[in-house]
Amino acid sequence: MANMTRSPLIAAGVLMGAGLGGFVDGIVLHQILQWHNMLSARMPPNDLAAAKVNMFWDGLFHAAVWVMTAIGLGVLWRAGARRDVPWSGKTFTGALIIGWGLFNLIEGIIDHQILGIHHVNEYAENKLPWDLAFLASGIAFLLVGWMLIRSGRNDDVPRAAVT
Amino acid sequence: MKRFRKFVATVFVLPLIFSSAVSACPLCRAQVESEIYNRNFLNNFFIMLLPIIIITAIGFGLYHADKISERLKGRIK
Repeated sequence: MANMTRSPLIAAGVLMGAGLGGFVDGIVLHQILQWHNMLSARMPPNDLAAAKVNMFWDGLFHAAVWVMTAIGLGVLWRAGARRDVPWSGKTFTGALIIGWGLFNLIEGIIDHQILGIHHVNEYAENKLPWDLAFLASGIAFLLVGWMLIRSGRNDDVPRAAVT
Repeated sequence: MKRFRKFVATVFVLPLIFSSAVSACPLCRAQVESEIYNRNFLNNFFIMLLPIIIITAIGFGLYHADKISERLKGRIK
């Protein structure tokens, strides 16, 4: 592993994992289950106008996570072209899971706990357990991702040598 | 490659510029627009982007982690 670095591959995985985790959040919690929207604690979607305002902010959120995923794809492309970056499926999968965990943790702390612009389940009487479960899922993803990255630490073949 | 990038950027950005986010609801359009584009717009926009900005910064930090650690080592020496 002399002169090899895994950090560009991990960076790509973290960005793409966070982006894809953002899509899971937006698609499952905002659109399918409709448990919350971007500003649903400040502006509950109780009528069509309020629902459409929330829909606008959900759309911008999706656009932003799309950009983050696209940036991650660009970083992955650059990492794949480097001869000092080992092409490891375990490392990349671990980084994807860490990215998802980071998204849940950071979004949960900022949006749910500090700013309170929405909660995981806006319709629950007690919202805190849902918010804490979301944070716990973030921590669990971080641990699983870290273990996978660790298990790929001996992979040392760059992409150019794999293909 | 540059032409392809310009094409992709044009395809994705132009519809955002020329479309109204609330054009599908003619009856409540004015009310919805007034509740989006008010004095809280930039505040809401920044709040919505904040987690994504932080994660993107972490990603870029990771990508350049080796350069950053080398610079830090250089400063310490």
